[in-house]
Amino acid sequence: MSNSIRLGAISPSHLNLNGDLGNLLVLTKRLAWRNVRSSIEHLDGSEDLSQFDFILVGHGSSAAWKQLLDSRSDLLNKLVEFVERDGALMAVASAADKLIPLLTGVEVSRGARVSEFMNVDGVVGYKNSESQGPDLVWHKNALLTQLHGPLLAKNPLLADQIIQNNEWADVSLESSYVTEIDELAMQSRKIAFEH
Amino acid sequence: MRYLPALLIGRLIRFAVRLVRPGGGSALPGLVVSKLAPSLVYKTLSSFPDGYVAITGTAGKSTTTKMVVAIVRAHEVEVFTNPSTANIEQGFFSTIVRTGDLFGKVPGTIAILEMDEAHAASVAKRIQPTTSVILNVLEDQLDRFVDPALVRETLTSVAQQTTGTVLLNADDQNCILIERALGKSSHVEWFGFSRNASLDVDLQYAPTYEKELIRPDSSVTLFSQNERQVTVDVFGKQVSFHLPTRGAHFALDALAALATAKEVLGKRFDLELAAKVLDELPPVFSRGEIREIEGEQVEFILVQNPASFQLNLDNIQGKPEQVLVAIGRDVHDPSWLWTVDFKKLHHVSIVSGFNYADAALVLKYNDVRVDHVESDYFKAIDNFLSLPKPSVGIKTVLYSADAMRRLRRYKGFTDPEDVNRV
Repeated sequence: MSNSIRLGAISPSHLNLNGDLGNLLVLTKRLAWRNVRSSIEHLDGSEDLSQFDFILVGHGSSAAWKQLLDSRSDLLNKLVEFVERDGALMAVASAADKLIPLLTGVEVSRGARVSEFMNVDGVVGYKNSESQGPDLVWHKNALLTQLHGPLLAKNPLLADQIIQNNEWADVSLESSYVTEIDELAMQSRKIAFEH
Repeated sequence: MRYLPALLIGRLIRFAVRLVRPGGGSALPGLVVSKLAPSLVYKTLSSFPDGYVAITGTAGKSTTTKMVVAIVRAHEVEVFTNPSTANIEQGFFSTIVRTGDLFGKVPGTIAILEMDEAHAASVAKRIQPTTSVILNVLEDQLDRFVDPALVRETLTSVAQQTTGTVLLNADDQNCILIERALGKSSHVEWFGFSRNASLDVDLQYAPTYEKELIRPDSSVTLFSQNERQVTVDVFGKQVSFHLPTRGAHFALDALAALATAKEVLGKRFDLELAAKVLDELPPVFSRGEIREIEGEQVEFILVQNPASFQLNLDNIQGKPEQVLVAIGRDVHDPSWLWTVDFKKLHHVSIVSGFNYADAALVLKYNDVRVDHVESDYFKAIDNFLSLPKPSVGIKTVLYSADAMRRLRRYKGFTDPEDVNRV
């Protein structure tokens, strides 16, 4: 197992409209609770992504994406290449919209806007999108989802699944603090459907 | 006569609700009357001899409106306004039920209204505002507005419907884009910060992702701010006064208020009088309001979106010893809490409100020490107030709008005007 995990976020000052960056905070804390060091790095897309253990591409406005892709026209190709080489990645909402067709060949059409909490195969999160593609899908080691915000905080099993699958830490190491946090996450998932 | 039955029913409902829930009853009468007499609000808005002023934008509407109304009233003009909790159409109906006669006639020669962004646009399409004030565009209520660019489009339509002057924030690129979308016949005045005053200030305007536009010269400009003391230039004349509450965002509200009052009053505008009014004005409730409850001094801070949470956190003085954080049912999607930088907050005594679990999660993951998480909000309030008196003498409550309303009702201080200046 590695003892220093590099977590990178692509352009988090613009692709963090709903707090998606919090997912990296969740990973780094859950690693620390299992005595594994990690770091969160803000990336502009020019970096060698293979140097990173996990890449987050959060949700941003259309205008933010346009500016980003105008300045980094190779970004989506780099992300696809990263995933095809089994890199661990999480793409949220508009980022998933862009990567799903490139990675899976599935077209993402637009329809009526959905703005509500959803339970997708046991994973609870908020969707605020017109996207008609899959709400949560894995492609190799990449999680592509419409569920935005702190998804890994709300769904600690998913966070630990990412940690376990990538062999970053032994997630069976529990503590009273982890139990307390995960109890709050359970309450959060329950409250989501009481609005 | 046309509106008499609806207004009678509205009044009866208000009376009945207030019997059951003292201090409550502000929303339901408006909802019912809006269904029974949907054109009432338009008839009322078109009845003011001097028209109506729409004060809108993402943040600062309540404080700016309160400031403008106080200044204009000090010039002996009769003003109709809405309380800060009633800035959507339903709220306008409630205000008419509360303040008007049974024929829908309300007092005032001019209406100065705080208006939610989307509702301002829909009302302006029916009844055009004489003056509009657009404070800013921030990233807020994305579960409702999706993209700040859509908010900017909505506010552009308010500006386009305005028959008189549009007052805009010169420091927000979104406002400059709004001005670009106006016809040449539109009259625009600008308010904003001087270069010096804007150093180290980030009011978190939503990025436009357009080429940066040149900041227009502002007619009402903040020269300097030191805590609550500000020095402002208003059309070439300088004046100093103290804000009701600390924070650069409140200075911006004061600039907008001075610009608006000058526009409304024209030659009658007395800058010294306006400054005196602002010097003495209490804050809008829960915007840095300090009050005594059960022998405890408590500061109430409303946090409604990432920017207001961040700016208010950044403006907290020292290290508060006892803090209650309550995020209520109004926060439909609490994801935005994760965009707030909590490093200023080292310790929270109690986390509660409908979204207590999400609030506790974000605080704990951010290494904020949380003493208690309490799902029962009223119990949390009682427990918080019964904590030993802090050495700094004051307890701090950070809460969302729903948690604010519940606390105020629970503790029996529901009058929005019942706020003292400290």
